[in-house]
Amino acid sequence: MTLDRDEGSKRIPLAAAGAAVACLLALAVVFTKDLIGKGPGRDDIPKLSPEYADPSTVRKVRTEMTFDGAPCQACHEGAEPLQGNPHEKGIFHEHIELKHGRNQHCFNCHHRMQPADFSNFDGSPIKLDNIQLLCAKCHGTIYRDWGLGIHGRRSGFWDTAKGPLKTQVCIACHNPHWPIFKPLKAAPPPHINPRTRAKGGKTAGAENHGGLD
Amino acid sequence: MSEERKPGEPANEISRRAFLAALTTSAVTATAAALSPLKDVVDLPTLEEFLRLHYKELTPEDKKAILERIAAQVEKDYGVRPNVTDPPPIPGVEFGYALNIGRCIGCRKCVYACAKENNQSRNPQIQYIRVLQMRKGSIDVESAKTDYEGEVPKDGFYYMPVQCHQCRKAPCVKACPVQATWQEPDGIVVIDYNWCIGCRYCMAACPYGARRFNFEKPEIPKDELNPEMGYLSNRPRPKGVVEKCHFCLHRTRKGKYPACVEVCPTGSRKFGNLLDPDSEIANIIKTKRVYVLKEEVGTLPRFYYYFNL
Ligand code: HEC
Ligand code: HEC
Ligand code: HEC
Ligand code: HEC
Repeated sequence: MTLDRDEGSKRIPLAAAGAAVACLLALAVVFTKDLIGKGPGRDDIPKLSPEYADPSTVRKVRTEMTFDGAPCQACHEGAEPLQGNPHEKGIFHEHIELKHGRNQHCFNCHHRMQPADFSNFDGSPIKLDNIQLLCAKCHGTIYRDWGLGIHGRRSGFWDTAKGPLKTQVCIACHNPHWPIFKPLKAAPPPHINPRTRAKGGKTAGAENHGGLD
Repeated sequence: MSEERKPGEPANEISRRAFLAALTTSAVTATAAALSPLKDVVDLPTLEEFLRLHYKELTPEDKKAILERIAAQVEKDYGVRPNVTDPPPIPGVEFGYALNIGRCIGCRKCVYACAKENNQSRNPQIQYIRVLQMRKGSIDVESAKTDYEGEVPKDGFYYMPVQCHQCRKAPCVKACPVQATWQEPDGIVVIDYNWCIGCRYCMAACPYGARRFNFEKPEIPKDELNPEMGYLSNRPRPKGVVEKCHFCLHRTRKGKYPACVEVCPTGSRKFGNLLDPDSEIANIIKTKRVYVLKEEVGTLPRFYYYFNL
């Protein structure tokens, strides 16, 4: 028996001590490197494809009436009304696909004397700049809504005291010859963020409780 | 007993004191490492920030100093000098929003225009607008799909985008324990990201699932940052706060349309001043069949859905 009963002199096997310390140091590494709770990688932040935020309309509105580069007037002098069976006079506007419901006659819209203009109820010409008046002939209620800002799109300033309001004409969205709004490719669906588990499929229900974000 | 180590014997034991010392040091290291993520959670506030008053009690000078501080921080983080403003509500204006579900084709352009305008985190992804695809003739929001792809519209389906409804009786505002979210006189429900404690009660309270939480520090590519910023809207958010649609208040309070209205290729999204009888929004409410989502929960949204007729 020794007299030395001092706490400090108690001996602990080196192996056990080493193991405990090593364990804790390993834990330290795990935590600092964030090996378990690893969030999503940050290295490359995905860019937004610019087309998804592009505010241009689905059609470009032409400012001049030309066909194959030539103004309509080049072939349609406007001296006499167009008439007869056009097919007897050669094939010219064959690529025009008229799929406008029961509206199947060129001169419901184009002016008979000068097809670069459009025809109003009384036969007076409507210029391309006022094209909505043409559509108004047959789509009265939509035209009224359009005037109130309900149909079509307004952009720029809602408060016209602060800046200009911009409206879009009908043919910025509808091809006059084939006016139905064409399908578009949808921008990518939302991700399921990696930190949260998706609950039984990507339905809206799960998200409504903040589940997916 | 012969516990004493004899001189010359190999040292395969260490003293208890030394062991305790080593153990303590490694335990402290481990704890420090475990706590280390805290350093980016907290983003330690400066003393000024810490002692700041609630947004509604700030004087114009306080606000100016805060906006300047934010601008400097953004410039440091993103290398872009932003124009941080805090436009006040316009007297005589109450904003309203209407969406034509007969026209929407579900192309999701609004979602991305919004993310870009409002500096939403790209990764993890945060989006204010969810577009629900539903079978024609049903309004079953719970079973709606949000992951459709390819050409739209799909036969037999219609689309209903959902975002914050800026409710007149907003449950989220009532749920917030610290008044970090409130309703402004023009109807917009705003969030002060510096006041939000991240408890997410508002998210649980919202019947439209319109609020989003920043689990991570938002990541926005430097060259895609929108430098036109509002204090209560699209300035970069810290980690751990809630955000949501605010009708692009940094645009709309300056007279412009929100980004989602500007981008919609079908013209289904309508926005304006409810109090102006000639605005498109007032005309829609007068002449169209208008409907609000989850009317039965009594939130009285300022976001309306309407049909063609
Ligand atoms: C290269 C010459 C040429 C140009 C340029 C041209 N057209 Fe024609 N277009 C014709 C010919 C030839 C006919 C056949 C008919 C006729 O004289 O009756 C025709 C017929 C038409 C018709 C009547 C078709 C029918 O079925 O009765 C319309 C409408 C018309 N053109 C519109 C236009 C418009 C609008 C433009 C300008 C954007 C234009 N054309 C430019 C050559 C041309
Ligand atoms: C619903 C009214 C409408 C009808 C019907 C119609 N057009 Fe047009 N057409 C227009 C309008 C509006 C434009 C100019 C705007 C544009 O192209 O965006 C135009 C443009 C044209 C052009 C020049 C542009 C191009 O696409 O080459 C030609 C040629 C033309 N029409 C020929 C015809 C012919 C031929 C017919 C009959 C088969 C016809 N259109 C029927 C409204 C109509
Ligand atoms: C002469 C009358 C007339 C004029 C002018 C006219 N439309 Fe039409 N439009 C019709 C008819 C008829 C239909 C088919 C309605 C139906 O089938 O129920 C139609 C259908 C449409 C449709 C729905 C298409 C679809 O397939 O569902 C659109 C969009 C349209 N028109 C846009 C226009 C635009 C834009 C203009 C002006 C450039 C215009 N229309 C000018 C008569 C006209
Ligand atoms: C911002 C784009 C845009 C503009 C501008 C626009 N429309 Fe439309 N229009 C649409 C969309 C989208 C539809 C829905 C089409 C669908 O459901 O396939 C539509 C539908 C229609 C229809 C079909 C009837 C219906 O109620 O679905 C008619 C007719 C029509 N538009 C006429 C017009 C006329 C006339 C104008 C100009 C006064 C005009 N549009 C301007 C986007 C537009």
